[in-house]
Amino acid sequence: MVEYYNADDEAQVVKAWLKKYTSSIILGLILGIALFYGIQYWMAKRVVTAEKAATAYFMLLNSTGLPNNPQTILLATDIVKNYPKTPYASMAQLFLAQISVNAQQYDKAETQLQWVIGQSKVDAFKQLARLRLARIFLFQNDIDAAQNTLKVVDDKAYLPLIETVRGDIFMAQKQFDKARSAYQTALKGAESFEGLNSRLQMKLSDPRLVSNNSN
Amino acid sequence: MLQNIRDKTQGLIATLIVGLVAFTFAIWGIHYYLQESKSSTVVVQVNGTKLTQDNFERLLKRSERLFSLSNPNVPISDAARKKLQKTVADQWLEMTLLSEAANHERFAVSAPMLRETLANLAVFQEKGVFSPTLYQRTLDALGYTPQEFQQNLQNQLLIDQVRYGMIQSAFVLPNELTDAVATLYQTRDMGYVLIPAQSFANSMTLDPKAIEQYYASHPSDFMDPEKVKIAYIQIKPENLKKQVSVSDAEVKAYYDAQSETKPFAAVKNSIATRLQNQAVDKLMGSLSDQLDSLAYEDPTSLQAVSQKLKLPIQVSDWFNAQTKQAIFEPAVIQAAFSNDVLQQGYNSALITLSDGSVMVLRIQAHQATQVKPLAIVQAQIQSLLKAQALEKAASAKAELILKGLQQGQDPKVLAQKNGLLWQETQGVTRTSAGIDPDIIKLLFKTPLNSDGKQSVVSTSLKNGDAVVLRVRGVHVGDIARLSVQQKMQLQQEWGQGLGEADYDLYERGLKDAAKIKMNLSKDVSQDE
Repeated sequence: MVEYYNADDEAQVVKAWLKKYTSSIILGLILGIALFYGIQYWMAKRVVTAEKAATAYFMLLNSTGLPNNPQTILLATDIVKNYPKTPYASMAQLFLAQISVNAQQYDKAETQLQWVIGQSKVDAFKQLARLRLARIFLFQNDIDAAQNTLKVVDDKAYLPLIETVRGDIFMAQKQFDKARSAYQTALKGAESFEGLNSRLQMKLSDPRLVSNNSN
Repeated sequence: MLQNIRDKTQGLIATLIVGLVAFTFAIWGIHYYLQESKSSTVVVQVNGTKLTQDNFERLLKRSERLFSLSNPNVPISDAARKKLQKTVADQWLEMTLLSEAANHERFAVSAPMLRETLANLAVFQEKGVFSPTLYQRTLDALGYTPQEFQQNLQNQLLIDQVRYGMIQSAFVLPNELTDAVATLYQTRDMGYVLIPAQSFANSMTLDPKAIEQYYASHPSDFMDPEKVKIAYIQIKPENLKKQVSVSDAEVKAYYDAQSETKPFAAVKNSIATRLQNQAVDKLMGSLSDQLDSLAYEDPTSLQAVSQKLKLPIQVSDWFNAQTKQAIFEPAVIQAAFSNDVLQQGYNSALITLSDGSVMVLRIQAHQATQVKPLAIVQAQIQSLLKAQALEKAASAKAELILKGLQQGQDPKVLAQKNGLLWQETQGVTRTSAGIDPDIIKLLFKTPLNSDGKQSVVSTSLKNGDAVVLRVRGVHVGDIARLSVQQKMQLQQEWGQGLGEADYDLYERGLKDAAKIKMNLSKDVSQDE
């Protein structure tokens, strides 16, 4: 096609085209550059934030060496406040929940764990929080809440622990057959984990879990 | 602020150190710096990250070096090497998976944090201060570049942020502590009878044919490993001393050239020794070169070498790849069982031994893996079969007693009829001393029957004896009996265990979700 145009015609076309679109091109360029640097800035800032949060978390971890260290609450609260979008906020909430439980402030612990379930972007952390929350509900004898908390499964890898807590709930309800069956399901999934395995074996040695079939 | 961290991290970092310098750390991380590898063979792949053959071998070498450092004078056997390969591959996989996951979850490590951590590692400290020399020396010894090592450290810190977070934040609720005590401190009452296997020894006869049959059907149990005798020529520095003499004139010339300040008579002997050592070194060097090249020129015999160098050919005793003897240093054994020497029948390359001597060797005699003759293993098989028969007799008797008890016979009378003794024990704990652990395990594993009858079970013990036991009662542990301190300790341990289970499952979840490829079996079989 091009061969039908002479050079002048071509220049005319280009000029006209440029005139029509100059402003758009400039705007596009500006937007493009802005977007590029914007992303760069955003990513750099995210790295800086993550590193600052990591440093704060490092201090938190080291404060937990001493039991009931008041420093821990301060450090953890700061992390939740200053870096809510980092995984460190979830970790800090887990530590705060532990402190609340040890201080018998179970409502507080519930709120902190709910925060993790709602805000964390990591399925394993959410599941961890669910398991811990369900155990608190169970301790408070709120069977329904405990069961409901476990209904949503965020991370299937945790099924052996979910079944273990479900077994504990059944024990509290004196539904021993269901408890035994939940523990046994958990045991199947926990074969390669020595610690969990022996705990489940012990739970199954509870005299209330009597055998139905005699030897 | 970092100073602050430094003070507070001591405890945490101290616990890291073991992992850092020990095995795990030694093999980790090379791939980050050697991704330009030419080898395209992938040994392990996890998600997008690959461990190529080249890098795998480098990791392997490093762990072999560590192995030799911690087990000097022990040659690495084929089996050990294969095991090491598996370990290296597994650990690389685990570390890659965990650190990449932590990275993906947006955990981070800042540069100053890394620097401070490194500076505080006790292994690099002299008198409590970071020593760059010691740092460099340790890295060199393990074959690390500083970047590589720091990458390792960074990954370790990434992983531990998740690990510590999960484990250290675990808690135990009061009802859980009560339950834990109830099961942990549970006690049981039982009656039992022990049936010693040896009590059947007198009535036992063994068919000689059974021994032959067992021998014929289990050849792999009676293997004699591959063995060789080597012929070798060795040059020891101390033997060369006789051949080297230093004249007084030479000593004097040396003395004059050095323009010593001490009188000649005072330093004469030490100069003579020094000159002699130098001469021995020189002679040793030239003889080693000759030995090496002569053995290479005619690789099918040591005769020519022996004649030209006027050195005797010595012959060793039989040895296998696992032999531990002074002359069979790892290097000698490795050379003797190498492909060139063992399969091709060539002379070995020059081997330098730890005493400074050198040697070349070839195979004098070779005996492949073979089944040991029956005469040698007969006694072994006989005692094995006898033990099996005794165990069988004991457990048959146990079955008999078990049936009798289930039919409602009186245990004491029943035991007495069989020449045995029925014993009653109360309050057995999970850790009771004086009772076979296998019996305790069975006791606590056995459920009670729902109809209120006492369960009766039997089992064989490790020593071949059999036992029949009846669970007579179960008593749960009472938390009120624990001291405050005991309670606190249990709470701590129980919580730790819960946290570890949380982390174990996190790790398994990552493994299940990852795309993992392992080409290890091929590599292990290809490995020469």
